[in-house]
Amino acid sequence: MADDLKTPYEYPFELPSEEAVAMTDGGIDGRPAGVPSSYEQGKSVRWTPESISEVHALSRLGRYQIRGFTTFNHRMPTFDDLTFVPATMTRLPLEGYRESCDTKTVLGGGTGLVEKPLELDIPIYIASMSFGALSANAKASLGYGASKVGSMTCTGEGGMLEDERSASQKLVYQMTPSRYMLDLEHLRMADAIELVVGQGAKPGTGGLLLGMKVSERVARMRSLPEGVDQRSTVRHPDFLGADDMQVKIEELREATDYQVPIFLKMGATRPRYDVAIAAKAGVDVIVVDGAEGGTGASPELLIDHTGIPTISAIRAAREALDDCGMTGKVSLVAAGGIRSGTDAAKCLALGADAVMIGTGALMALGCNSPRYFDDYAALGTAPGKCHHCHTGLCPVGITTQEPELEVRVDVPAASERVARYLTAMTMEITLLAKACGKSSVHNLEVEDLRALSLEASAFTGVKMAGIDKTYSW
Amino acid sequence: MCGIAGRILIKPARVGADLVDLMAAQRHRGADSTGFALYGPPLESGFIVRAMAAERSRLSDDLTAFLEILRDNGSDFLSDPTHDDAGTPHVSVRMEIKEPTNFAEWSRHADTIAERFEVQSVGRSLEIIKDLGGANEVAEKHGIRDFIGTHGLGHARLATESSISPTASHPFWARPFPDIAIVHNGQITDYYTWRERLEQSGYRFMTYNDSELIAVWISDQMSKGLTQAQALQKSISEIDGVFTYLISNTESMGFAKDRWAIKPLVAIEENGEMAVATEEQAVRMIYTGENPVINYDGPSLTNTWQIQSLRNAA
Amino acid sequence: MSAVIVTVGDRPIREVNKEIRAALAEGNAVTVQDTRSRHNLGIGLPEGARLRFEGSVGYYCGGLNDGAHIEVERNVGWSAGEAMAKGEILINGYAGMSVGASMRGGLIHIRGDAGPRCGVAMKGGDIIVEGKIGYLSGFMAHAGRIIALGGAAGACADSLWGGEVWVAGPIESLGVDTKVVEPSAAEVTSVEALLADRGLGSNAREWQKIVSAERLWHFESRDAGAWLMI
Repeated sequence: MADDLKTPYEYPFELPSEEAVAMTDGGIDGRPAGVPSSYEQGKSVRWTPESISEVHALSRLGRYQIRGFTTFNHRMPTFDDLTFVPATMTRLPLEGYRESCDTKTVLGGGTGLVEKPLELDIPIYIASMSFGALSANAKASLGYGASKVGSMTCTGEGGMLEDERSASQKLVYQMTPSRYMLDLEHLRMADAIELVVGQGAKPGTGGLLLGMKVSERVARMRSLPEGVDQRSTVRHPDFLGADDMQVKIEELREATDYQVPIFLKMGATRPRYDVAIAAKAGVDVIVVDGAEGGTGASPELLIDHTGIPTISAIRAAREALDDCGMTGKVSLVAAGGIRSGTDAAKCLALGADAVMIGTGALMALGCNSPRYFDDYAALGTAPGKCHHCHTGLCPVGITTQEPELEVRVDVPAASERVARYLTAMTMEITLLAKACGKSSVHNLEVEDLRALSLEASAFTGVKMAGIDKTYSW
Repeated sequence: MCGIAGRILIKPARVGADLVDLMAAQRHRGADSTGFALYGPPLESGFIVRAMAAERSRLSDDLTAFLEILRDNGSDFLSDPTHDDAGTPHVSVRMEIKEPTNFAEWSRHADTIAERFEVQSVGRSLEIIKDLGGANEVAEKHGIRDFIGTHGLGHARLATESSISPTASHPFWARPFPDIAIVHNGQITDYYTWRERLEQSGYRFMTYNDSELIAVWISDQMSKGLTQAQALQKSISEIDGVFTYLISNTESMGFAKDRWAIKPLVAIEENGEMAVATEEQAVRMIYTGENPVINYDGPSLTNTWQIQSLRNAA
Repeated sequence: MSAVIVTVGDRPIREVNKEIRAALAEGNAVTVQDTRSRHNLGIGLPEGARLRFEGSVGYYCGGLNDGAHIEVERNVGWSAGEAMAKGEILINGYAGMSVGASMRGGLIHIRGDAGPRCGVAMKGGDIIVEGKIGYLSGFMAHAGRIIALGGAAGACADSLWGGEVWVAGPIESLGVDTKVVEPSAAEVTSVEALLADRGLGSNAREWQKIVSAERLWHFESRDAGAWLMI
């Protein structure tokens, strides 16, 4: 491939300066080309400030833009397009403050192959986010907070951090295609193993960590030179397809003596088929991460233009499991833009057995909190609109490797916030469940929801409000 | 995503039994359905037709309709059709027919009733037998182990993007070319592009399965004058995706493997006979000793084996 | 003490591995027979374990090896020694695709050829191949060494981050972002010493040492060539 570029074209003039390419002539400080805020909104629906600045940015960079956070795509149906229809005359609600509602959640017990299925006190746990993308303090706080409420966390692409293992009572160990820090001992220390084939923010591609976050510690853990822009492979190096994956899963079970559940995490693209295949390949738990899922760094085009909405993915995943007789045998976890107990409850109603939160947990740690305003401003952003995780200069110390910033995550305080957030989410779920007459959050079902838009009904199969019919073709 | 296998014998023998063993060893690669393309003693004239009727209770009506179409095309049954007695709604039917006046025209005509009675293979020698379930299950139901023939293909399916139904299983017959069958492991990513082009050239597809597409694609290339070997080679650069497939006719069996060297293929050859499969442990079911094994591991590979037994029989 | 014999046949792999582990735990060396190219044999075995397979094995043999000494008399399927941390695996025959995938330490020695993607994503350790290494060998390796005595197939060492691929014999083509450098005398001595240790000493080898050209290390590369590679 590189050999094809043997005869580079040469301009008949000297190479331009970077300033000239960046169109700084006639410009003013604070309004550079390539940043949407430098432009005013015109009448064109196509050429918005975002689109124009994108062209200017790409013309300067010669590559796609990279950022963190979640999708900016306004066009997808989301949780807010669904509403609950609690009990009225046709059924009885349970008393919100007295009659109990079970939240205990068991994952991985259905196939009968696992000695120690995961038992959580609540149907929510904290998603995998790598050490590298996150600071060590952030990882530890997530662990303590989750442990306090009987939940669990996941390692991420960076491998298992000692701080996280000691902080988390239950820890899922992630095996990503890059295999950073993959260690047999860690595998055996984990409460579950998660094979990753993709994530909701950027399905079909691998992990990314920019050089400014590849600190000495991170570099050592990832066997990379310091400061290199780390890009992971998208495929696992040792199996190439669902048909081989079955053999791989057996290997992992052998390595852990069939003690712990095997998870498979995927981004939501064709969940109806992907989930069926994964179930047949022999995993215990399937995690489906919708397009609203977050990331520490990704080419932005992927975040905005790949994957399908979480609400549409869950329904398809559940129907896939039903169709191949795996409901009850394989657990289903939903992720991707879950912000609250309400969103989580909707996921359960749509068919998930549990939910995973990533960005929400970071918010509890302090992401986008109104503090350290100058540091936000230095990045060209402000609390409420910051999405600059990829820069490694997180003003609140979460997605950074800089020691001076990392200390802004006060571990005890942040842990407590996470614990309270998870508790509040659980309260929200049980309140909704009891209003719908359920003695267990796991008994929420599609019938408890109504769609507030045609799209939401079409995408999820949830009945339209009032008319009580699903949109059909 | 699946397991595939092929087997060539030096003279007609229990090729079905060998293929069942090859497929049973790979059942972890897919157990949604299993299928076999078997080449038995060739008819002197006429064709063997294998079909699947969707609804057992309507079988005699379907056979009547099928016979009418045969007669409209200058053909007829050479003997009474036979079928399985398994009691499932779908029925596997075997017929021997007189050569139609115009094969392609008859085939098109016969496909008009495909929704209730689908022709799955036509050949002097080829019989495709496929069904839901694992290798042993399908073998039991259809008597595969007792089939006497010279060569054949096998397939164990893990459904990826098309449905699981008896008719969507592999192998596929490359309609309307008699005796050509294919099994495939992988996923073609420009399926719809190729399908549209081939449909515009007049070909018909019974399923949305991409293996069916490869069968027709190869046959189309051969009808334009390429040899099978040339068509195999061309497919590697023209079809996108990840694949390894085996294609067979009465005289030879060949394979092509994609440019990314992803889907494996392993073979053992001995004394003019051969067994090939996705995984080594499958061919080791046939050749239990420590024979030298050929690993087709590299990118963009093709190979063709000739069926020696034909010459031996002659 | 003579080795304990464990037979594979068509027994469940879990049962076979349990038997192997039990015998090893009692301090025995283990010989495994009737292997039939079965998968997942000898996973995650500890230091001090000595295991010999009389025949060919399937995928993932010696996967997650944690110090064991494993010998395979014939061939291995895919990904033998994947994610190995330490120990030694000797393969007398052919090694299928992705041998030593993401390994972090230890040694894999293959007497025959290695298939495509040998040492893919490796993070440390050494792979010695007396024969030829296959297509895309060393792909995205981060650290570690692949030493091929019989040449290399196409796209060798493609997208290397770090680590080294040493080839004696012809290289069909180099992968993206690689360069061939002159090894120092000390480096050559080190490689030759390792080979001599394995009974492969020679004075006559001409080495090509392939390392990362580092053009794909940074996104800010202005070199269109580096970007169009991807």
